[in-house]
Amino acid sequence: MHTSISCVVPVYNGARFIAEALDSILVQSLPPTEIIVVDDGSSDATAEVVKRYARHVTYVRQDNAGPASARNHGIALASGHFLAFLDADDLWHKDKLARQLMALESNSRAGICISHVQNFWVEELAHERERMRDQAFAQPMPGYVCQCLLARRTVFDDVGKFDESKRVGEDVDWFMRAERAGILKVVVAELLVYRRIHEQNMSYELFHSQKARGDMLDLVISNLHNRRIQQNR
Amino acid sequence: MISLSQIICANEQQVAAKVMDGEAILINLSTGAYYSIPSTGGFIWSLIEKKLTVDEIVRAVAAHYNVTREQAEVDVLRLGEELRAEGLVTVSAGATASGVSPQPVCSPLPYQVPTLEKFTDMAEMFALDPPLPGLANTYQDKRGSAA
Repeated sequence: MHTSISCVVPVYNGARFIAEALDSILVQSLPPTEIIVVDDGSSDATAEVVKRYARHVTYVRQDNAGPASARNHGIALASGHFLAFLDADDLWHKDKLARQLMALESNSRAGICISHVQNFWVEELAHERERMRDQAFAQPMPGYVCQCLLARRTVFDDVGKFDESKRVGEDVDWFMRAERAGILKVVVAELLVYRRIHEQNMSYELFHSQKARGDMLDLVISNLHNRRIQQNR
Repeated sequence: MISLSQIICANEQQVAAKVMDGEAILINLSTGAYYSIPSTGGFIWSLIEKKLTVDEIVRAVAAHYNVTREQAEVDVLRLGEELRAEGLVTVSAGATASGVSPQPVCSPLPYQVPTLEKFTDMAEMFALDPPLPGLANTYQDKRGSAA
């Protein structure tokens, strides 16, 4: 069967939200063939929560090495013809996989599909939600992040895996490499992913670090370099 | 209008920048837009990062390149306005000029009128990863006030 979908869920100390994430996978109108949870060395109750889903989920654990490494670990174990990813604090719309698979099956030349995503705030950050209400960051937008991706497995042979040296922007880096490799993309302009903003969102803590800024500059410089090569052709 | 006595400096809160082979590459972290300032402009950006007065920058440019002071002044002021309009620099009263005079170089470099080129093709990608810093600031402020 050519529509087998593997879903990889990287998690680090995600005990508070991972049950909701897994539930949103299990209620998919087109369920994935397998769900692989990669525990990136959690020290909280993540393992116990995931144990409740043992009938549906393959659980593996690794020493803490970051989300890119956890996703790559999941890709290595996945057997599906298509790969999808969901972070342990985010949620899928019940038709996420069905809509995206339909989009890829009706565009046989396309290798990847992304959907729209909208941020939502945990209750403790309700004031933040109010403050951001009218801003772009609170509206649905195309999601160049893994949780919005459905990819043919073969795409990873052409593009490679996620760059484990990056602390931020590893998703953007991968999407840029996919574009450069000539992988065609379909965008399903429907809100199919909900991204939770909470106090442990790693990007928040990292944002002001020199390393994070350096990673972003590297992405931009690489993109600029590529633009110039194309212009000179 | 920016004046010669004012200090012009990088908006460090909002800007990540790197000078490579004389070209300055900047990202506005709150919009996802990025910029290229090649050649002479890259040299000017490296001076802006030193928090100098506009006058000091003009004098350094005139000493470093084969250009008149008048031309350098016009160009530095214009580039400064463009950078300010994009939120990449802040301009403040120049109370403490360093007083350091630039050393003229033996053979001045050929001058190129500084330009600022803007790109927005990655803004959509940067919208989520990492998130906008305005949000991050508020998050930190909140933690500070809750303590």
